[in-house]
Amino acid sequence: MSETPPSFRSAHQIASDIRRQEYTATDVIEYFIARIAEINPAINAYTEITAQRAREKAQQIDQCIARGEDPGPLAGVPFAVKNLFDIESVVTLAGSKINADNAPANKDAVLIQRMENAGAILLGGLNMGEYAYDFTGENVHHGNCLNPWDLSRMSGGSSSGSGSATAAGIAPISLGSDTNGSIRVPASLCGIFGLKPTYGRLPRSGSYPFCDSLDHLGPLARNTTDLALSFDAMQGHDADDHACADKPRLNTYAELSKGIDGLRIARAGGYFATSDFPQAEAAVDQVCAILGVDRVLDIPGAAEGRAAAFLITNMESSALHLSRLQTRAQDYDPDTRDRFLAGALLPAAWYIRAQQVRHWYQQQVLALFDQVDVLIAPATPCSAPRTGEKILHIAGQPQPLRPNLGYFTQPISAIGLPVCVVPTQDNSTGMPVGVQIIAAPWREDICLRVAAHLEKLGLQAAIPTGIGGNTAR
Amino acid sequence: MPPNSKLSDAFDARAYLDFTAPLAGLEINQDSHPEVVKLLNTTYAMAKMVYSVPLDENTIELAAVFTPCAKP
Repeated sequence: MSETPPSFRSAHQIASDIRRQEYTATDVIEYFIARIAEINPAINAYTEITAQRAREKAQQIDQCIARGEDPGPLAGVPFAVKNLFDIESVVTLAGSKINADNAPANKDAVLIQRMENAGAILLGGLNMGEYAYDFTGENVHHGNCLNPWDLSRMSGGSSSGSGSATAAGIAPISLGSDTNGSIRVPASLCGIFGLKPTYGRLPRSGSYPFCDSLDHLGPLARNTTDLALSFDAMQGHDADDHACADKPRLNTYAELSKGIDGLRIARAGGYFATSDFPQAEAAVDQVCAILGVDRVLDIPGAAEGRAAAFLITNMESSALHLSRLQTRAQDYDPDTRDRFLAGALLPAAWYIRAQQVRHWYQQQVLALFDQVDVLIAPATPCSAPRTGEKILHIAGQPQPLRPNLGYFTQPISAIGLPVCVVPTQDNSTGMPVGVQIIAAPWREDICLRVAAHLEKLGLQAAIPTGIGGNTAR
Repeated sequence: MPPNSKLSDAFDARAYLDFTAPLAGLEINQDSHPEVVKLLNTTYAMAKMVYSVPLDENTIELAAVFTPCAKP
């Protein structure tokens, strides 16, 4: 074993050790089940632990190795999923009270199947913001998911449990969803890496929808190698998701060590200027300094693109929930319900205009990729706010915190660009703040190459301080 | 070329809510009412921003599925 506490060993190291029979998959799973029991009560990241299933899968991996077979690149690696992914025989909560009345899923989501085909072992379902309409990690039904760096602070959302569990060393890899920033915000606030792939890259089959036009799924991990291995394992067309593109698979793992030679990199300016947000500014400054980037490129139409994403999200998700709003409005979190109620009343012409503006904005940004390969932008305006905070100041004006934690992420997912979030640490608070590494559509390999380069030069997921001596386990 | 579509500057979110909620089959209770009014004002501000973009008013092409890029 290395000096890193076992919980924080990378997924690829765990797989390598299991393949070399330094320990068994069963040893690893028992270790993580015990660690979840110890750590989870403090952070409330897991809502479901599939211990029996994990033990059975671990035995299969161990038997496979004993027969001299290769169980896959993620052999024996524990992972967990946001509870909007279908897990066979488990009710898909999607962070809600209402869905608890549904029948259990009759099969796993496609991405769970693909992770298991690569040898990974599912540990359970993770907390999330109700129906994914959230950036805070607060949940009135299942309890707030807390930040392992400071238990008085938000984990970020809506993939709150994914960010918190992976940061706390109780899920080496987690899967989340990202409609407007729900992988990137918790990755930023919890100090880990997160990949939001290109829209249409990974199939969403077997996951509970939020906004069909904007929903993405992707992995969160403590390092870029684990992100790449899991992303590579999950790629591939699936006809059950009408948005899933039939694209050639990338081998991003093989590209990770290529460095940044030949890549044209610029800092996003204009809408993405950080002068109002000192923590975000310091984070982007640090990344740009490491990369030697001094070029700034305005992103035309970003504010309008964000407004389009805001309307599309509000109106599509409200349409999805209309019947429940009519019959069970009292069973929603009031914050979520009121947003759905407003969205259910908006004119169709606004929605169509928003889709047109999204297309217009896409054309502006795609043209930029003739000049540049990578854009650097903040992931969140600040480090993790304290639980219960409601206000964020933008340009000196108080604004509601909940939607504006996604201020910098929403314009990027609006047009489906691939993004990798890398962690930095804010010197004034010691809390993490993430930075977005953005590339042209279908170039997740470039995002991951740049992130791997930054990781090599020191931007790593540190061990969180908020769960005290428990980290030494 | 027709002029760019515009939204009226006069948007009464409270009146809009009270008129449209029954049409949509929605009951808005006293707790929700002020919040939904606030949210309608926010969405109106977003719609104003969206309508500020000059588009060709002679076309309407909505792809059945959004595709991130025409390039390979």
